[in-house]
Amino acid sequence: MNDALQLRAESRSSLIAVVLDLNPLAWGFKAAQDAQRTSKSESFVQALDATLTFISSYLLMTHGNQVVVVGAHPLGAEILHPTNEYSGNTASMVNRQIEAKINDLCRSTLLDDSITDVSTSPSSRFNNALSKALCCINRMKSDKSNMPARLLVLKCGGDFLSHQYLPLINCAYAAEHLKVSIDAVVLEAEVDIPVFQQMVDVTGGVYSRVTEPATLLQTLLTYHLPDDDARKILSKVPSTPVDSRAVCFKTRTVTDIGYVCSVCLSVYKMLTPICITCKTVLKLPGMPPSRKRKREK
Amino acid sequence: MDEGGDKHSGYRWEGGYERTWEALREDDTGALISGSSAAKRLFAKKRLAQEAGKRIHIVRHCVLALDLSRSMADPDLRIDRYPNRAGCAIRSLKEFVPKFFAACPLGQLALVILQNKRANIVVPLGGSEARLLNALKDIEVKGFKTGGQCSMVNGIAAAKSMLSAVGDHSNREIIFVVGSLNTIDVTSPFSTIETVANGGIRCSVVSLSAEVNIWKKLTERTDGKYFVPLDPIDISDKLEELTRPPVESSARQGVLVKMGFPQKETDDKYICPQCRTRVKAIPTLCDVCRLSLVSAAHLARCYHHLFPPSTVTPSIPEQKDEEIDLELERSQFDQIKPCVGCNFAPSTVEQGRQFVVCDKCQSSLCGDCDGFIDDHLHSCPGCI
Repeated sequence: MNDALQLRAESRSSLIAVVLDLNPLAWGFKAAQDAQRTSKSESFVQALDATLTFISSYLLMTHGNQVVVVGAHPLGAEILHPTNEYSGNTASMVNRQIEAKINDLCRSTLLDDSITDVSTSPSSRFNNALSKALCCINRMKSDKSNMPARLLVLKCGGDFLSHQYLPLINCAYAAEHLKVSIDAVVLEAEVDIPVFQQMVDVTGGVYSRVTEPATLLQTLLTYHLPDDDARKILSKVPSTPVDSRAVCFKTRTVTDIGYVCSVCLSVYKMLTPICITCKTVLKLPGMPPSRKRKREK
Repeated sequence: MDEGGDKHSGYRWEGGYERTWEALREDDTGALISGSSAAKRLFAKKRLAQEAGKRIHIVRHCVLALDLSRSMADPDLRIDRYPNRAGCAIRSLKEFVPKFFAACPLGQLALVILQNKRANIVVPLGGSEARLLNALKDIEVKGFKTGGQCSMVNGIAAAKSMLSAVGDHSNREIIFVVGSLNTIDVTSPFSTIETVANGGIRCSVVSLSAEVNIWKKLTERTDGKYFVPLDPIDISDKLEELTRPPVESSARQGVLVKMGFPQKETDDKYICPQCRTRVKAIPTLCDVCRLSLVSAAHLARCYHHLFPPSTVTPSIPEQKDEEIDLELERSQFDQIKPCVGCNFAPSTVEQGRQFVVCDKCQSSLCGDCDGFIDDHLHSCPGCI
């Protein structure tokens, strides 16, 4: 009896925030790709199914585990759970609520607008979704100070999110401050997403790329279900090289050696006389210092 | 008294009455709400507004000069397991180091110990947080040994030897944490102060004993800051003020600094893109070709100084009149939407007072999220 009590005290409940990509364009594209190779084209349903199973398994792991689910789409981000209607943590209820919320979103014209609207970027707003998830974690952490928390991002498609780079890196460092590790799963056959790799690297999480939607559930359960304590005991997840090269502000190309403006930290691939961001006249390295000559009267 | 004319308004006892108890308020249930968190947020906002539009020094090379002379053994400052001034100084420096690197990811720190009239370089300039913390821990483990006298000139000489190798692009600083009331020097300290000032090195001093004229002269001449903390907690606060990038006083010429962005192969294995040397951690200088190695994330982390979060206005503005218009307050409260960050909706007017509206995207934010955005997130969850 005593042992059981002690075990219960030791097993600590934790919190996971899941950011789910709800970009209709990306999923549609993915489905079309899959349809070419196999006859099935239900990647979104499959992925949603896998995510919901993952969430249920997480909730069932330890009594008192909590989950926050945020959906990201090209027009913003929405908290799918907890909401005013249901904020508990019973696995079946959580699943039902997320399904209902996504159904509502699909029925509304919001997501259709996002496809037809050319003025906004077609990528999902992961910066908003991650900020929301971190705000939720921050609130829950301030209520229960020592509750461990994690973040899992699920993205479909290989768009690089370059216009969201700055807020996403800010999120990563904010997560590091909260001691939240960020895991990232990318459903994409060919390319890695450098910004996610960097975020994972900063916070010490796990990055994985899933090429087949059918293997998503297995990846989620084997790599992303164990918490930070359990990961120390388990063998290490094979890590991929992290691409942390900067992008030149002028030519928009990736560079591994660059020149950085000392005033505003803009990156240039080639030497430039004037910084285009802060309009400072720059002294080039290797040139004699341009000093005003002092004349004696 | 200071003969050189004091910049401060005067001593604390000469100032007006501070009604500290008025910061306390009662909420609807009668429990006391401390205004301190709100005051802290206000202070942060004020600071952000002050820094807006000013050129700051993002790249900093900074030498920490810690006095461990006999005077630091004085137990007049003590907290928890830190028995004397030296202990309190180390406790605060341990908090200072991570905050410094968070505010200036491209900065470098060094540690110099002033003891027995000498200055020993314990940690040379570098970007490694762990190395500095280990050095500080080492002093703690050895039981805060102090001895001898403190020498300002030797301290400056040691710091200068390291800082002279740094290029113009960086802001060179020395931060002294001293408890000594005197300085034993081989040459005139006044001429040393002149050379430091001409060399463009900014000196700041945190004095754990009292205000000392010669240290104050040093800070005034070099455009630094001078602090005399009131208690051990205050040391951390004063040092925190020094973690923020200083505002540039005179426009200096910008330079282009060559930097490499190495790829991370595995854990603690980075390859220099110029000479293919393997380095263990970044940011650092390549051991072979002396190229500064950073990652794009380090650069991006600095950008929040350049792109601060959007400004906010309180949802329920404070009323200046003697009589508070409850009707108006109630209607303002009813218009508050749930927080865009955490979906929290206020249930009482007192909670509603903490809410603000983002000026850019007009979404409402609760107090917790607003503080979190200002301190760490640096971008509003509602804005694009």
